[in-house]
Amino acid sequence: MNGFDFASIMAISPEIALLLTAIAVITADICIGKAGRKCCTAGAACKPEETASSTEISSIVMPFICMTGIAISWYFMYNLWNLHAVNGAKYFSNAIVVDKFGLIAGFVVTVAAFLTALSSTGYAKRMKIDFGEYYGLIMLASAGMMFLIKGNNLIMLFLGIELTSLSVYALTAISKHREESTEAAMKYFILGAFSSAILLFGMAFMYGATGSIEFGQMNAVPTNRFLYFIGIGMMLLGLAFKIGAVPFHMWAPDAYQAAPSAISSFMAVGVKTASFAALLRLLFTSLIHTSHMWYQVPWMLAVLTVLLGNLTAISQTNIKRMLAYSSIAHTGYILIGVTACMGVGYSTGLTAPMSSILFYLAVYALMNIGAFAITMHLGREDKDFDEISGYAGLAHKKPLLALAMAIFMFSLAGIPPMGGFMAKFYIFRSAIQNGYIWLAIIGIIGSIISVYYYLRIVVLMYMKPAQTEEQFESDQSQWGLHFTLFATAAGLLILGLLPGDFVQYAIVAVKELL
Amino acid sequence: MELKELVTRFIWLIPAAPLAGFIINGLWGRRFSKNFVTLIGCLGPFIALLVSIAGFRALSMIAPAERADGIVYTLYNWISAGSLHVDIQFIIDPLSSIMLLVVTGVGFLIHLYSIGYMGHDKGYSRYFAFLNLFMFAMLILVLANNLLMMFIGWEGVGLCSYLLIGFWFEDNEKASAGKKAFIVNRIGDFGFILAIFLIFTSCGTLTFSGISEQAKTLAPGVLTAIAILLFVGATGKSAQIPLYVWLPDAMAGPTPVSALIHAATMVTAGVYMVGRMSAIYVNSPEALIIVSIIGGLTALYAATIGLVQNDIKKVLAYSTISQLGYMFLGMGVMAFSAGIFHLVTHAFFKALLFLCAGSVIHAMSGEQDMRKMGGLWRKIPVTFACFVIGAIAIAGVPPFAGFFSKDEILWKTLERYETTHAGLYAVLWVIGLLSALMTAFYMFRLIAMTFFGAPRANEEIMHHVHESPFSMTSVLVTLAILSLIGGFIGVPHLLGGHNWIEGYLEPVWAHPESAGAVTTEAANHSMEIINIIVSVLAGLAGILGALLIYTKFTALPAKLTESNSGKFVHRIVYNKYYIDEIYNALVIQPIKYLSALLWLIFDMAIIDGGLVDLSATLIAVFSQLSRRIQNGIVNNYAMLIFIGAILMLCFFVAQMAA
Repeated sequence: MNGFDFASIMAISPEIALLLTAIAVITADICIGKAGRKCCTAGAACKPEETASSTEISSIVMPFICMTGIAISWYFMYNLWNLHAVNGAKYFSNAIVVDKFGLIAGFVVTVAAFLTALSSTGYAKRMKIDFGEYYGLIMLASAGMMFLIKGNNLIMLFLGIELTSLSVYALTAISKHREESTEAAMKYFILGAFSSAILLFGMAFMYGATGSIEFGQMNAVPTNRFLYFIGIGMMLLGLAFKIGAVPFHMWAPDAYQAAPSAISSFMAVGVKTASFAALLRLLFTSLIHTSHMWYQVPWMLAVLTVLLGNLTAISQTNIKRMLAYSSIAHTGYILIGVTACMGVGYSTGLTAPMSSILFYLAVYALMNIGAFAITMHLGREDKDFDEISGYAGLAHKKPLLALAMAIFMFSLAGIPPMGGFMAKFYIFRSAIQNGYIWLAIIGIIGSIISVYYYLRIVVLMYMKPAQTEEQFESDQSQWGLHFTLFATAAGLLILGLLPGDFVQYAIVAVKELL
Repeated sequence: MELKELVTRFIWLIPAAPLAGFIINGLWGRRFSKNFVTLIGCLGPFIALLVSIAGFRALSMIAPAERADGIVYTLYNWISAGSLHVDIQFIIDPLSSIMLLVVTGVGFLIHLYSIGYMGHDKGYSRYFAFLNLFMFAMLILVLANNLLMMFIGWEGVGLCSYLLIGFWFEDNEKASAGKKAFIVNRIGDFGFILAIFLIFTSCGTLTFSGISEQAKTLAPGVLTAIAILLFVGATGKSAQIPLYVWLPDAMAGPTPVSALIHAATMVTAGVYMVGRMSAIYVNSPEALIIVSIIGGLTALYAATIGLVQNDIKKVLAYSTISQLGYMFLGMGVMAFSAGIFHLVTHAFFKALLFLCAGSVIHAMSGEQDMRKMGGLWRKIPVTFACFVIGAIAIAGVPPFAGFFSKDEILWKTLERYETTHAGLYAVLWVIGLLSALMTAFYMFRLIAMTFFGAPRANEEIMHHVHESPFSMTSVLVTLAILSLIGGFIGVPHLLGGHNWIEGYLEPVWAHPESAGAVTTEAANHSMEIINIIVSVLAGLAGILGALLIYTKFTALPAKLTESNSGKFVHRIVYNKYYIDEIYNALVIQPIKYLSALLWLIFDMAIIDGGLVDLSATLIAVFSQLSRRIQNGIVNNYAMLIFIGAILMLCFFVAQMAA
């Protein structure tokens, strides 16, 4: 399977679809969007209504191209899922692996991208970021995430991370006219480069110790223990930065706050899902057998992340920043699941913690996208609606919107019958089963702390009067956001009330990886 | 397509159809015309009835030996968490098929009756929505193939009961009657939940077939604990001592609700559940004795209260409690088929009696006090005739329905006399007979006070008395026919019947390890004949006594209650033995004081003052501190990453050295 035969092409067909979409959307922008803008900047005589109508068209057409592309990639993923022959099969000199685990994680990522494109229909224009690059970068980042998930050696892992990261750096800075956006992107880029360097260093050490860069080939007895352990440490560090684990999380609050909300949620969900999938694949194919010697590291990371994420979220006054810390805390919960697979947990059973991580990632995607979509829905001009105090009285003015927000907040806090509850329940249960009772207790304490800042929003919305009369007026059609909000809220309720089948899928997927 | 296949494919329609009715009427009912609300409201139960009949037919076509496995359909894998797997799974086996027919059949009839009865109520659509929701929950309870789903239905019917008792919630008393029902039921539900936990920890499964398999292997103590906890749940839902107190108050709801929920279906859920769990009970003789004693005592106790009540619905309420006691007596002596048989016939005649009472109340412009009735039979002849049929049925006069089922329970109790605990079962049999006598008496006291004698209501009301519309009387006649012939599904062999229902239900029940001593046929026969004669005589004596006292010697009751000792007894019984007051003094008030105490000392001082405020302050301080770290300067961020990296690498180096 080393050649570029048809099966190999099919193996990466979802990614190809995404990359072609990225090209298509930028081309489309050149054809219809830029024409209007250019003539204005050039100061030439142009009719204002013509400009307006051309951007109007482009703000509808470009997201639709993206959504169509993603739908096509879903079709290819569906084909791969049903093609039993390819499961676990490797292509391109064993650089790419196709299995159900990767397909599920890839599906979560593309759903996030789909909802981001969908909710950008009116939003991007209002935020003055409706360039082709905006959509093109989303598609490129998605493709990077998919490669990251499917990568079967260290080189693919690194390439995937870089393709994702570079796109996301640019997306953070997409609001060119806003200073803090550029500043946050710069910080993110510097720190990201720093951590990528460390990651690459770790990979080199790993290669030196084991003589291979291919997953599944690196679990030979290391010839040089020094290189091996330093390699593991550095690679863990690099990945911990990408998932936003404490103390490598500092980029996240600034970046999430400064980026447009659509990008913040896409970053939080997509990057996290893809990085965790890659981390799990790396761990379980190559590193797990020595984990009894270093499981304390993820243990410590999980504890720090859960506690610091939740504690810092409490004192935030900006909801996007609060959601950033909440996203860090959720990384911590997932790390609890990762740790549960290691050390003593390795012998107890990996199916439960691994499948609960997949389930958690899916639920997290929905509730996070939903919560960010609310800040997009209520925003005006080129700002998101991000002051927490501004949410006072929302339930009296916009009851349905407040209900959706309440669903997201309850789900993030882990209150039944929302999906967030089942997700946390599965994670903590697997930790307890695998002997990490203290980790579960710390996770639950963190979860209790988190209830405070999530429910504060609900209390403000339902029990406080609105500050001003016209506070929640929005002037444009938001059908894309409406659909996003409905889909995420309904999805959370379904995953919370009827988790059975989804967990079964996750278990099937995970069993294939092990 | 084969019928079984077809039924399997459409079982889900049985609960789904009423649920759809609830959703449609509940969301948009106010905007619909009344006729459309009626159509939607009655269509759901009707579809459920049709599918249930099809299910029953399909099951009858299966060979008897395989019937116990039933027709099973898995809708969804609901929860899978470790060793806990719960499916949304429906089963139609002999037990649930009988129950389905009763619930959907009687339920549908009562929906029809409600069209006329609730016609002028402004909450018409809300009423039908709740009634449909009730049908949904009840059918989930009946169709469940595992305890968790059954519990959902169990809680669902409790909720609907609460909503419908307090249907006229503007009236404070009615709203609090609903609350009382809900809270008392919670106590029972607590026992039920504990039983579910215990079953899961000891059996490792919650499906009924799984529990039946595991039951024999459990330790006797665990079995008895499970059985008693389950029975605590049953006493709450089925209004047995000591948790019966909510049912009389539940009469605050509309009368069709009393007929459907508080007589025919929901209150029998406890009996159904005990039947479902027969595998647990047959292996725990101690629990069986408790069930039979509680059942017998409740039957007698409620009957005595029924003797002196003056509210027409209250008499029927205590009668329901008493008859439920009968069913539990039957379950307690392992006459499971007889218990379910009585459940079926009781559903017919008690629904009939309640609906007739509703018709009377309707005619009397809302009056419920029998002391203000009398002389009604000429004015509302159809209601009168139906009521008499229902009363004869409950009194146990052959060949009406109640005779066969009640006689079966009494006979099985007497039969146990020849096994162990002879004295106990003899006493229970006597208690059963006494209750039968009293039942006949208070029922005909009710008839005499309501329909015979001179009218005691004022001219104005008597002038308005009229027979109910056809939509109501047709339901009454249908139920009257069922009360008349319903008993023929269980004619004992002695009287030349086949006892079809016993044979039909037999495969469902578990059998005890050591089957009791089987006595000779001949001895059995003579005993059985004696039992029949005595029980019929008791019923007839009660009927005649009541008719004589309340039509010929009308002064007698007054004289009895005037006399010194009679006055004392009457006051105690009339006030229901002061049980409500005793509960209030012994349970409610102490809990109130205790909770006030806990609130002031424990909650306000220790928890709020100490733990909550302290921890909140600490967290706030930490939060502010950790916020400081994030100061926006990228150098600091890099520094932190560097420190983290150093610490991690130090750890790995240390590990390596070790």
